[in-house]
Amino acid sequence: MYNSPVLFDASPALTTQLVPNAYFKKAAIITDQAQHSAVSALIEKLYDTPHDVHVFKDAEQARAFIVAQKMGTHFYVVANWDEATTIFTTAVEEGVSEAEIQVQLRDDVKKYIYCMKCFTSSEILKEAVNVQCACGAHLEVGPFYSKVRQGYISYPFIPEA
Amino acid sequence: MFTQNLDFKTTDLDTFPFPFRSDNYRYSNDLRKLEDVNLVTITPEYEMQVRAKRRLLDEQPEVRYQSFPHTMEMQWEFLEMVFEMAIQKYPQHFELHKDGDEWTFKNNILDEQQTFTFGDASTLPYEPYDFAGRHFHQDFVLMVHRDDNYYLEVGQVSYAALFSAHWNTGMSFNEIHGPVPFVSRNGDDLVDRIRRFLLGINPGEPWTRINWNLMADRWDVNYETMDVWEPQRKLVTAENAGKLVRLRVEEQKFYRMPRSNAILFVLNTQFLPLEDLKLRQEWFDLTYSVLQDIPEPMAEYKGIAPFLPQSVEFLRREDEKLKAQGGA
Ligand code: HEM
Repeated sequence: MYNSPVLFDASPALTTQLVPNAYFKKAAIITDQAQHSAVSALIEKLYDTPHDVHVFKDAEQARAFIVAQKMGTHFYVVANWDEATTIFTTAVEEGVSEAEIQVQLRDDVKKYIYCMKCFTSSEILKEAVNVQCACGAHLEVGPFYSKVRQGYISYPFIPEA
Repeated sequence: MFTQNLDFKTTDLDTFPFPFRSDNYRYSNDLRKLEDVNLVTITPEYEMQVRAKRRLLDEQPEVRYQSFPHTMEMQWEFLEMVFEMAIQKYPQHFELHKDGDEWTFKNNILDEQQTFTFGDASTLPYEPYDFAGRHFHQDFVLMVHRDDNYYLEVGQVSYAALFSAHWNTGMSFNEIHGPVPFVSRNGDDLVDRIRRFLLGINPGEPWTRINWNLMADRWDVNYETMDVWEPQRKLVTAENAGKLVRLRVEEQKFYRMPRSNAILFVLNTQFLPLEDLKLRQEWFDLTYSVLQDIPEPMAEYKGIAPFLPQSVEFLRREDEKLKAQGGA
């Protein structure tokens, strides 16, 4: 659905530290690096809450793992941005809500803008204020994000000579 | 190409939805019950506005019209509602003949006729909502009710004041109003309060409000063309403001659709050059007073900050002249 949550740089699901959720009966951990310290730290904190770890290979295997989980499962993702985005989208497609997912990235978040001149989205540096789009338009990066357009609004302007 | 230079204004002042009721303006929940529930109106500028609207829709379809594929049933509901309203209020201008699902709609003002099968979009030249909307001069936005909020799922927007059907598509009521410094006189955040209010609107009991802005020699302003109109605003002087700057008003109407439960948001946009305000002394006085007292964040948000002082100065000079005449 168009208004489903998406993973973007300000998603509530993103965290720098995974925390066990007391209301859930089971933890499902999906990671692209099983040895990562965030995974072992989480497992330690889970104490006797049952957990399963799935090592991410592709979206379809991740989907099968997600679908196999019972109600009352909380999802934890430890992965690089691109893999985390795929896992997050797959989970949402399978009916998992944003409140049921925590994501800890192994690399940096990526930020996307949406050019109001050529209607395409592109990745930018997180701290960029003004950028030039591939279409040539000079853009001021705005603070509003569209889930449908998958980017922050960016307003065209003519730079002063 | 469509020219953005404004070549029309409201000539029948009795149909101009003048926005101000007191001598200062702040955001509020200013919705009122709508008296004439029929949204179709034919003004002297009807044909000109409809033709301009269609030109924009044809030239910039991506910018001006957006819909999700799952909205077809709601689109037919909209078509039926506006066509029925049109024939009820103006039987001399519009006709609708039904033979089962075979319908024929006639627009006698534009001398157009279309036969189609109700429920079968392939029998129309455009999507049903787009087709029906092209017969009336207003903008039409369908906000679908999901989980205590409204989401923009169909939009036909040809008179934008920072409204982009393309950008806003799929957004919730709260997301759409994110850019608005939407606080009341006593500092309350209004977005949630108004969203909740809209949840209580019943079918057959529409509501209305008037939104206003100033426009510097343009038909509309949207995010897509910010690089063009931002610099243009600096061309306004106290000498030319009377002609170039127009009080731009949107008479907004909100209908709960009985079948889909969506809210239909209708915008009738009209313009009055500042120099024409003198035609109604009360309008002149109220506008002069309101414009002197616009909070900075509101002026910035509305995009009028660069030419507001010149506009006020124009009105001040006019006021002096009027007083001199009155005293003479
Ligand atoms: C339900 C349908 C509605 C839609 C689709 C809608 C849409 C919009 C849009 C697109 C904007 C411009 C946002 C931007 O700057 O990007 C806006 C502004 C605004 N809206 Fe709404 N709106 C709706 C209902 C309402 C209602 C019910 C109220 C008040 C009771 C309201 C009050 C305002 C105000 C005060 C502004 C700022 C306008 C200005 O100062 O020029 N809106 N709206």
